[in-house]
Amino acid sequence: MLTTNTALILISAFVLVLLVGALLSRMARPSGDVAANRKTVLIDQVNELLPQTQCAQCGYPGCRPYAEAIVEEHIPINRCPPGGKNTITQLAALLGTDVPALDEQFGIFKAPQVARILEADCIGCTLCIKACPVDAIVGANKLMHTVMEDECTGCELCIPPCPVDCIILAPIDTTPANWAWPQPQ
Amino acid sequence: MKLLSSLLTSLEKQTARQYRFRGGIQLPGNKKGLETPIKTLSLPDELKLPLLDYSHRPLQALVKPGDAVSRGQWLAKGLASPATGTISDIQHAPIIHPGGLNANCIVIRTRSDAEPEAQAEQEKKTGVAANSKLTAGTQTVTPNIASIKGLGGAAFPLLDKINALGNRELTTLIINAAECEPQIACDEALMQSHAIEIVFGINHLVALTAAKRCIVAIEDSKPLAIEKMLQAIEASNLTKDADTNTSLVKIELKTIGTRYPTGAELPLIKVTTNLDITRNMHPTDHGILCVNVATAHAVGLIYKQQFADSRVITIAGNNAAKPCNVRVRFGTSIEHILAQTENLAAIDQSTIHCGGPLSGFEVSQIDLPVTAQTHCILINQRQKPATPVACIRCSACADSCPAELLPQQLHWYAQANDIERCTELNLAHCIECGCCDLVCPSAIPLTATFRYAKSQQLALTKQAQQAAQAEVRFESREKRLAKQEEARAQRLLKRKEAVASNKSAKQNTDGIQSALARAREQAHNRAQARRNSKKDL
Repeated sequence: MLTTNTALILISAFVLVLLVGALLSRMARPSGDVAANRKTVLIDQVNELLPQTQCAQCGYPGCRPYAEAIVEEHIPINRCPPGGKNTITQLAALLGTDVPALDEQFGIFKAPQVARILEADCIGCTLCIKACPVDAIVGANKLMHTVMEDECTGCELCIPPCPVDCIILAPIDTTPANWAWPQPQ
Repeated sequence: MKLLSSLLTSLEKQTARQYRFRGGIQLPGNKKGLETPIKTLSLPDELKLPLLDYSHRPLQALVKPGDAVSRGQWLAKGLASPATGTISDIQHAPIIHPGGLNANCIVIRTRSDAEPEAQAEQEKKTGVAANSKLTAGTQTVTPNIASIKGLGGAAFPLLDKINALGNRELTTLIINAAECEPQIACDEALMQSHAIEIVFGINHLVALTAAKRCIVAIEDSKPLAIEKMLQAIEASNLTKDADTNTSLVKIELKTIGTRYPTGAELPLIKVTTNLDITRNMHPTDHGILCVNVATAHAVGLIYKQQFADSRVITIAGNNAAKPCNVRVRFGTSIEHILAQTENLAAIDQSTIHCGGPLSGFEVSQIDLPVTAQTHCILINQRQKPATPVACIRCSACADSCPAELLPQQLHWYAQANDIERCTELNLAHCIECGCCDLVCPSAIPLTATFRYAKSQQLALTKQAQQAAQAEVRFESREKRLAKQEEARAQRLLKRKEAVASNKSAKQNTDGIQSALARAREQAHNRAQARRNSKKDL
């Protein structure tokens, strides 16, 4: 008698656990919204790893569009020359893929640089202002333009539109504020 | 006398308990030049002031070449002119820097004849009179307090330090007179000769910050300084006893053990109050403020209507002919100081080291202006650095680390440029004291590696900030362009509608058009008839 009772209790407990489990798994299953949300989170994460140079060398108009293409269209992650090897390694770690070499068809890795306008040569045509993806150039029609170096990402997009070739790219100056201790040999 | 002795015993009881910080090493003091009093150097003809703040960010000059400046006038934000004279130039000139860099410097051609005049002018200015009674928290901040920079080596502005407290109550004001690094003796020399002025400054600092407790911490290796300071403190405390109106707390003196780097902020707080500051907290979060003893003296100078534009510098090192402590105006060149103190003789066979033997760095020339950060100039024999060999994992570095870090691990990761792992291992908390270098049997340049890794860490943080900023600017530009595009589309749409409505208006002009067509046809017919009649003829 006792054993039957115990068996009954055990079985009913087992069934209850199964039911609760099934219910929980149903609740945990992602609906369409959740999946879409996950995608945006992933796009954000990819975008965060990109250098935000907005240079469009990857073939997309900016870093976020490239991040979207990586996540949504599975475009290769090795098309970002300013990010170089570092960015590719980090992206591969995030997405769980192999670490490909930089696809040099899209450009080569360069040390950080900033654009500088040769003030004597500038004719004030405003074409570079329109080209700058981060609004780092100030100036007006027929007046000298200048680059705000702190905002410049060194994307080189201002170089081709300049009709008088007065924009140069220069390595960032070493000042007491940004100087770094050398690595001991 | 009885009162004095009872005071002494109470003081001793209060501060007798000795606390220890973890790590650190016992080092021979090797402090020289303390027998002779502090010499005040004559004003040089030219002073050069780098336009940089304490963390080497550029400052905007408020003066231009050709301007006449008076002593105490602002040359830039937080930078007061150390002398009366004329701005002869603002030039890119070499500064005291481990990388031998240049910076924009204001060059002042000084007028030594104007010194008494400047002093008289300063005394005329309103401020808290030197002899007025002090009450905690009621003291006004005179503008010149803003020119005081920390004289312990970092040159952090004193006012910023006090303001970091915010609304929190200052429970303990610690006057840092430890001066634990070997060879540096400028604070000790100052205490030996100017104890009364220092205590005067401390009292004003207590009044300014409304501190609830004030402890002066001195290492037990400085008996004469302790004696002089104790006398001055007792005298000051006695007047506080006599004056019932004052709410100022009495100053306590605490003798602490001699152990490097007890003068660093966190070890000092530990040995004076037995309080451990956790890694993500700041001493001000606990209501604690550490101020260097020379800075307190500078506060005293300001309230005596004088200027805080000079500091005491130790000249020492094994090739120094006359080791000494000299009071030097900011902006004086090292060359001038060494010449005036007769230490220039062996300069060709020596290396010049700015800052302490452990915390400082070598400079490659001597035509460099000293700043509030320069507390020591060492003239050392040239010697070959030891060749590092492999780490034997003895862990002596970890035992000596006062910041409780794992130098061995940090070193591996820093060498491999794995800054992320270094950050996880609290690299940012390394105070670069150099203890690990001293104890390492393999002569591994640990501190240099950590300095490198910290620079990289800062660069990465800055890069991330710039990327975030670029992203924001890019996105706001995209939004703006989209808005413009939409406005254009709207305009076009309106234009199209206008054209369409014009067309319907045209229907009304049909009558005129047909009349014109009829007239044209008639004319054509007439011409035809004329041509036909001509043919007939």
